[in-house]
Amino acid sequence: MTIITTSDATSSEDGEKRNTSSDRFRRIIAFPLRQPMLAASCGLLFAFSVLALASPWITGDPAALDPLGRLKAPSADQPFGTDQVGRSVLDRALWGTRVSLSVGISVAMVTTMIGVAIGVVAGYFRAIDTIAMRAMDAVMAIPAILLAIALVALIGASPFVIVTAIAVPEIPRMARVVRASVLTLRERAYVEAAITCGGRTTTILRRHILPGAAGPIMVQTTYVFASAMILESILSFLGAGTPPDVPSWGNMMSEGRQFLQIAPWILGFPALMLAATVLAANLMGDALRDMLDPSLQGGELR
Amino acid sequence: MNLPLLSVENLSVSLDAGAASVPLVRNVSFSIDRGETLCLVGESGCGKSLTALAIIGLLNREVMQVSSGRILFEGRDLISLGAGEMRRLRGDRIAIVFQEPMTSLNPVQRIGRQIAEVIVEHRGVSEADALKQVLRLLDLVRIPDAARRAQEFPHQLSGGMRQRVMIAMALALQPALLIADEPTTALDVTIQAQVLTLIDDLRREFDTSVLLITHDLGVVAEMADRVVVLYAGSVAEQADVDDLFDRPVHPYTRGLLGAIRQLNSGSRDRLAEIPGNVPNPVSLDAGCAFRKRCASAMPICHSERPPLQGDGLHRSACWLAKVGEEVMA
Repeated sequence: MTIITTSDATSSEDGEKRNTSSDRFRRIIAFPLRQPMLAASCGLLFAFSVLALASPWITGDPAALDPLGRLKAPSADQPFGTDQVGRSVLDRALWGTRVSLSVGISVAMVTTMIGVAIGVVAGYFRAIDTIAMRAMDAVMAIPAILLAIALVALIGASPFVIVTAIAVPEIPRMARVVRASVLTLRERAYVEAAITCGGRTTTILRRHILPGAAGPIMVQTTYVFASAMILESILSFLGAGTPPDVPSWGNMMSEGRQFLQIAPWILGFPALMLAATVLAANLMGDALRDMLDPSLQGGELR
Repeated sequence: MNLPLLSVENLSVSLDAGAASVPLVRNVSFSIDRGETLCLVGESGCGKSLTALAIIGLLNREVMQVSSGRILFEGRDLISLGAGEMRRLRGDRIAIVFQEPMTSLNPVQRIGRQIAEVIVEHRGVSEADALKQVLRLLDLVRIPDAARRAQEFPHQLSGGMRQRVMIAMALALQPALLIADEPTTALDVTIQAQVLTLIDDLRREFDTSVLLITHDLGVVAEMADRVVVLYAGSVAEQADVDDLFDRPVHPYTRGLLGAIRQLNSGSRDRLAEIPGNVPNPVSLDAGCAFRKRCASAMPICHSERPPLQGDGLHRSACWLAKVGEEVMA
């Protein structure tokens, strides 16, 4: 008796293995066609990451002044133009990618780790739920930007402080999403079955609860990643974020604001790059949600 | 003297509804010997599953509690055991199979790993070693092509196969007691018979005791050594299976037996039924819980609850039995 399946994982025989590996290859080829949104957004983010990693080698010194070439409009020589002290906007914008992406990734990782831990504990252990979630509500009640500015003003603008300041207001959102998933997963029959088999609580959380919540967690992580990049730019724009000697999209826009009427490219290009990155991250989140949330009947990939 | 494997003594479980406490299981006592099958029979809401949950210590602590009684398993009182000790017993010495094989397996894990998890958790062996035992277990529950099946996900298996997997999981460590809570309710009739035969064969092979919870008297006749009939949280009648089917004393038991279609009777009449519904446990008073549905209710039934009486093997909680004894005497 054989059951024909679409999964790769069913067979261990040699002939079928060869068959599944070519099957896998076909699936990779077909991936952009089936999930164009996901493929495009992943591709864009990947391109930005490559630019960020390679920028020390592909760009000139972003701090090099050229007093004679100030406020030059975009040209073949300077595709993004120059700013008020003659620095290349292109070089600075590419360097700014490093700040934005590294802050975005760090915040996403910190938020996910802490938020998932709090959410799982609050969702699974009823005794802790109320206390933990009311504490999260308290954190959520503080406007994110005010909290971030206060922290930076209090401790000073180091990368660690910036990441903390942006992550703290995002943690409650992650915790809520995770807690909501855990609350429903906890009541599943297979979780009960695992308990009746004498499973340790840690094993049950790790093997039965967390994998079930992976979809919402991934989606929320991409949203945190996007909003962290925006918050970092806001902080830099307000002068409370990245120090002025490090080029970031936020402080480039802040400086370019004064020359908006005569040299819009100083503000425009970093703003465009920020918009493109954030859009890509959000689209990736949307596509992931459509794909992973069975109630939306979005994708075929399961 | 040979102690029974499990003895439940005067177990009461109550629901905390605000300030009031509503008894859902009242003074239930029974015992199971090694290798014996005891069936717990009754309508929905009569406390069958609650009794099972009380035995494995998984009552919802926030709303329900064991208000009195003892549950002695291998000489230890399960009610007073700590959470850690109870966890070590579950899956190892006492295992349970639920009625929903479709949802009792984690959909994102291969079944081999899921069965192996029980062994790893209790024996601390490596997962690779546990997986070798899993193949033997899958053979044991008669799943063909075990090596391939172990690599599959639950959605690739039929309902009957999944229930076999659940049984394999329950029997992985050869527990002394297997609790089967309506294990065949969700299955096709043909598969039901296979699964029941499997449980019975494995019971014989490993000398496991089985506590079978069911509302299907056909299953009872097939499987049970002894039967406990529950009604509204109390024992209505308990007896050896043959004795119960031949000489039911309690009108409720008679009603249940009367509601089975006899294939060879040739009768085309309507199936007999027990009128009315199970009473709301909140509204139970001092009288017999069954009197409002009972054709032979007497004045005493309204004022006093009948005690469980009879000889050691066949006991029933009905005033009729008492009256019968007096008439005989």
